Amino acid sequence: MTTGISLNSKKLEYTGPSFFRQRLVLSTLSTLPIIISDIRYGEEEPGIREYEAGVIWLLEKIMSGAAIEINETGTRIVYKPGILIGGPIEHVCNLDKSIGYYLEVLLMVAPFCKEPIKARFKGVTNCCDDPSVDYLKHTSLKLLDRAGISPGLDIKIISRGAKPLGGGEVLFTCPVIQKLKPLHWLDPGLVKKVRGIACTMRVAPTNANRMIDECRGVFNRFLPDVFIVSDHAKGKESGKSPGYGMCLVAETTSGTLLAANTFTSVGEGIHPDRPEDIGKNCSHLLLEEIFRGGCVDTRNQSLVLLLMAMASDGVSRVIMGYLTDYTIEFLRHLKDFFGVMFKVETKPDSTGGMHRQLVYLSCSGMGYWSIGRPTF
Amino acid sequence: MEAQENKPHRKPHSGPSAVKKKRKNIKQKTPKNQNKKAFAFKSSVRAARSLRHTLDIETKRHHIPVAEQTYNTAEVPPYIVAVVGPPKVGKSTLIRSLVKNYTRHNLRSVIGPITIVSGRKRRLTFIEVDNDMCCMIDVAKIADLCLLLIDASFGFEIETFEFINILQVHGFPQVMGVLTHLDLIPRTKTLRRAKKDLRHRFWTEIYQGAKVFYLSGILNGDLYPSMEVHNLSRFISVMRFHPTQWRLSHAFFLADRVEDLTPFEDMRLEPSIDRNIALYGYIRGTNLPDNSWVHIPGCGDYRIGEIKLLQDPCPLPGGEKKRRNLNEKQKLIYAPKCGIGQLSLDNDAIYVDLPSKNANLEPSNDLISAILRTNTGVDEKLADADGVMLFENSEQVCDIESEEKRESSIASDTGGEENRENSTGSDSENDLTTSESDSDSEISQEGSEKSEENNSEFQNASTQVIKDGYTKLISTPSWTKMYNEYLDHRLGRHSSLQELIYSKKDTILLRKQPHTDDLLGDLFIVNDNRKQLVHDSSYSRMTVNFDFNNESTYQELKNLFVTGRKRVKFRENSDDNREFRNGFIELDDDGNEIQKLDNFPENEFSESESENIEKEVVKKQQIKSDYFKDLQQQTNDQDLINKGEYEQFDILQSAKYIGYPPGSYIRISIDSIPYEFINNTKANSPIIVGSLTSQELETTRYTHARVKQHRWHKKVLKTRDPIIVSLGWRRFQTLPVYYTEEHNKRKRMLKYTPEHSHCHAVFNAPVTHPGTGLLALQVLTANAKTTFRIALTGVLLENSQTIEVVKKLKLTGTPYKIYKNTAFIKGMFNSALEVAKFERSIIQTVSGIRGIIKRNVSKPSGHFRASFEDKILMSDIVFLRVWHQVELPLFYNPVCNHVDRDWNAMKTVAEIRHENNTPIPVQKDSLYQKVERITPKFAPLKIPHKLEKDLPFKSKPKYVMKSKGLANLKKPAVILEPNEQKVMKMFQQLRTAHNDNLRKRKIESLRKSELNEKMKKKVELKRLQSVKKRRRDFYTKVGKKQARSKKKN
Repeated sequence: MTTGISLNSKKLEYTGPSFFRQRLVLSTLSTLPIIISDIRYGEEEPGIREYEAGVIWLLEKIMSGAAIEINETGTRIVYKPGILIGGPIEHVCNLDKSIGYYLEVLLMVAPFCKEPIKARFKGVTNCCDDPSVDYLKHTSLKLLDRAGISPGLDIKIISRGAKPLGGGEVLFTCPVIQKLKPLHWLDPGLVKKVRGIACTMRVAPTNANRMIDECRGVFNRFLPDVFIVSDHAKGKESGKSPGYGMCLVAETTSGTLLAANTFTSVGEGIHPDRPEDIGKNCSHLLLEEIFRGGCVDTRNQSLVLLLMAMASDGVSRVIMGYLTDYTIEFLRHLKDFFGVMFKVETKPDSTGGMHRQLVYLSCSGMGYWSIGRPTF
Repeated sequence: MEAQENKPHRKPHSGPSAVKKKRKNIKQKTPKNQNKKAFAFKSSVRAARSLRHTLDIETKRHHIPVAEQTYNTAEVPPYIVAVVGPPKVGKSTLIRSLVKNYTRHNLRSVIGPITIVSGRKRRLTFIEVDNDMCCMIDVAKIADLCLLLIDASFGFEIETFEFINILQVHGFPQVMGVLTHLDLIPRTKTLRRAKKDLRHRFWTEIYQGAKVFYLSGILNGDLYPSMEVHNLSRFISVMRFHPTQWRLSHAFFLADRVEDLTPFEDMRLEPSIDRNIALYGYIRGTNLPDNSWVHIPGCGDYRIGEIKLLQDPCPLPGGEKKRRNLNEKQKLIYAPKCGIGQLSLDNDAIYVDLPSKNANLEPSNDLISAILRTNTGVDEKLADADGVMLFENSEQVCDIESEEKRESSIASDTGGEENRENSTGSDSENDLTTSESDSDSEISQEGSEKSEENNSEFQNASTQVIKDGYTKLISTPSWTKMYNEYLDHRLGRHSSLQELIYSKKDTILLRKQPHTDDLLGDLFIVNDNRKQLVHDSSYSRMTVNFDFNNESTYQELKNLFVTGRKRVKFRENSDDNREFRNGFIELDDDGNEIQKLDNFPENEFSESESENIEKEVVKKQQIKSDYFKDLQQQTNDQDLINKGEYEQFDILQSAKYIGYPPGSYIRISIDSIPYEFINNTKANSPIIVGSLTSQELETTRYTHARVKQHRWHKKVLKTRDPIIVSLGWRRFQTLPVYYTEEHNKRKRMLKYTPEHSHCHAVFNAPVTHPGTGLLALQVLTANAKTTFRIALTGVLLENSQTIEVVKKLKLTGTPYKIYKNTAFIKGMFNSALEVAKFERSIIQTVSGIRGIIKRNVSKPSGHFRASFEDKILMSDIVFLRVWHQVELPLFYNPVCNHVDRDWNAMKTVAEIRHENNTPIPVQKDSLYQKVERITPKFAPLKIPHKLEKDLPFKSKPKYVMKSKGLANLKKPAVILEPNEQKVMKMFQQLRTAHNDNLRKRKIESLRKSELNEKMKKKVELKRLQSVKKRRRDFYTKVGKKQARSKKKN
């Protein structure tokens, strides 16, 4: 599927629509042009989807001098990145995907801009496939904070919005960094507390309580320190469509955060899950996440790997749980774009007789510097 | 008897001896063993001040600790010693003398780098630097030590100063001056004077007290005196080198030799074919990863095809640490271009350098000569004829039976292959469990043949297990087991996760190829409407489903919570960031230790070790937290981690992760380099290979730099005049635009660089790290006109895609209608659109009345209405001050001196004009003309009668009669009395007599002064005559004396 690099050509070529965001992000950071061809070639609806095009426009907003060519059918993209500028931007997200889909892109790029980013997103804040905004706020931001990207890093939820009409608004601010320190996250620790947020919009607030009750039912068997807040969005803050869902975060003794989120929209033609099912499902997802283990939860694996590869001053080491296909491809892409190769070792872990496998990843950081950053 | 009174001794009250004594007295007064407490500070202010002072001194010594990033370092790479100087100054002689001193080897010629072992821990690479600007720039970027050779009998030459300035820009390495040709200075006194003068001049350039070495003339065998060279070598051997930031972040090497790897046949067919070359050298700087981008100055950007680690041709002596000096065998030299080390082994070839006159290339054997004479290949002959004639005049070879046999054997071979393919195909079917498709079988075909059987067995087993797992899914609770099985399955054929990730064989299949069987006729392709499996979510659930209601699952999971089984100790190092210790000792219900749950090898440590760690923690807490010490500690810890991480690997294995370490001798191959590189590169010009990051590739963007025209460069530099810039590894020609940043951050274009201050420059160039130094030249090669070639120096500030450099533009217009404060203005704009763009902008008259553009007038277009703070005049000129964005040129032209020997730079306009004798075009508009101003005639002031009546008297106009008659009337004639008339007459006569007297006196004095003048002249003439005579006498005397003394000598 990937053609990879040909010698002496200063661009990378890929095929297929998968891993679209990774490729764009890494191309933007490395400033290597990419060509992605055969995107949904031969399908009834060929070419890139609108939400994918949205990612390109989002990146273009924070760059100067990018040159993007998309052919008529949208099956081939030539992406020549410019210089990351950042600054205040506003982006109206496609309603097929949640804001989280776009935020995941921006989280990777934002610390390496010239100016601090202040991005206002409009669209769907919570949905079942992509990470909800709560999820990113309580895990990804904490990770970046732990990695040293802290002052001014925030996601502010101004209003919530569910599919299909959206109407949510989120303000994301991120500082820029001079230099990343190596990460050494090697102790997953044991789960000491579970926190969560159950949000409801344009439905009865009792739904939140029903979800919370279900979660408590699951987690109180394990530990007493379970605290889940309900967030009932009213009026303007509730967006345009009804829905409810929740996000659970488990914190371990070493500060590792593992999280899960679920959501369902309510409306005509949609069969929503019962709040009890949502609560149960979310708890089970979190249990699965706890079982997978590691110092980083599944969705943030690639973000952490990027930070490791970008760090200066030498070797970073992180223990992770099960590597997803997305992460594996990200590792390959890191090698293509930056030449950073990770040492990957599976380590059988038997904390409490579980006999599961953790993955030990280490790499020597490349000491990334963003070309837009000035000196004086 | 009176005692003799001697003059008493007078103590010195001033001068050095007095000071000395005073100091001595003070010292004696303060005994060493005094009670310190008794002499504590009396003043708190002074105490604070002195404390601050000591702390200041202490912190001045601090440097930011930098973690070492070169792990598994092979050996320190040889230090590069560049020998620089103008021609005929003795560069080669010095290198030959030094080489002779170190290795007892007599070099005939000095070509290319010469590496020698100079001590137990030190190797040196000497390079001679030609007097060529490109060479000097390249060498300045890589040299660790520069020996600047100066001809003492001649003095400094401009090249030396140029080189010093290049060094200053590219991270000043160590510099040592060497004065040669001292034997040509005749007298000791002048020699001493010359030495001193040159030394002091050198010091002002480098630093006060920089080392200058003196080499007297050439002695036996045209080398420098051995004692002096030996002393020089000792200075070199104790020198310490500090790498610059640039070199610490970029790997590079100086190519010892270059080999052309292009097949001879290809070259014969197409002599100008792009070449594949191999470059050899020691890695310097930092690690060089595989497949990294490199820049060869003078040639271009390339990607390394392959790195091969080679045996060190000039290794440091190992073992026996007691001996400090080298024995003869250890004094190695490697100088491939000088003809030393003629035999060199490679991974695919052995190179034997033979001088061409010694080589006997005539074939000694008849058979070989016959082979050489054949023109067509065997396969061609086979195709042509029934039989084959291997050589000229030989028998035809034609054996049909044997051919048949051969064919059959080929057939059976292919059959075997088919079988094998079938077998692998069946394997792949077996392992299809998840959503996989046909190209998986391709992958399995690629699978290594070695472990094929093992693989298939393994796969069969694993599929079995998985299937079982699925069937048991409802019944069996042990999901950890299932999970592990799932993970094993995921690995598939790969032995480890690492291999799964980086071998690239088992990628997720995303696209189905259209089946060729589905062709309907030739026209249509039936599209199977299966969608491509799109994978773009950072989350994916595991394919193993867990039963959360099961009690055993609950028990297993509970152990991941703090509420799980009891733990005795959670051992953790003081700082979990630094060292990972995840050791638990698990206890069963009785409190007995049942298992050590440490599977990480580094975690296996004994009880005593843990105690040690605890002690350390306590110790650390005792030490006061100190920012600098903490920082140092962190860096040291990171250092240890860096070293430890790849410790278990050898260089080749760790190269996958971090690249080849500096000090290793490697061969890199580069594909498709222009053939001129092989043919045109001068033998003595150094070839440097410097690594680049992906950001630093040759995509040009605008580069801002703070620059200053060099004070020795004779001319100021003009915007858009081409300059040749040396920045990072690169040298290129570009067109700069100079600008200055004003207080409001406006970037205003400057036509010329200011003479004595900094300004900014922006030009089109590849991206380089901000903070890198740069220099620029106007000409590369010196000619009779050029003096000092370095035109400007500076530092890079920023890379950007767009930049707003502006210049001032004044648009002028004139009023054509004025009402009170409003005026209508024409001539400033051409269209209503233009006016619309500048609405609300501020305008001004020449006299200083400010105004604002209000709106355009519908007709005539381009005219507009403006309002001013006061009424303006029709004669006023109104102007609008705007800032016009300057277009920045996109020119970028790398200096390819290795490809094109006579690389020509783009010329400046002035040069072209000078060559073609074209005069500078003059615009008539711009010429200054004499301004003739007409004095304005104002109409008389008329005050209305009504107003005049009301005015106070002071302001009322005063009418004065000016007619002649009236004036005469005022002055009546005076008639004198007779007496008065008499007096008047008397006075008149007296005045006349006096005037006559005065006239006579004047004439007399004039006559006298003339006489006097004449006398003076006479006397002067006489004096001059006598002086002349005296002089003549004196000189004849002296001349005679000299003649006499000459005769004596």
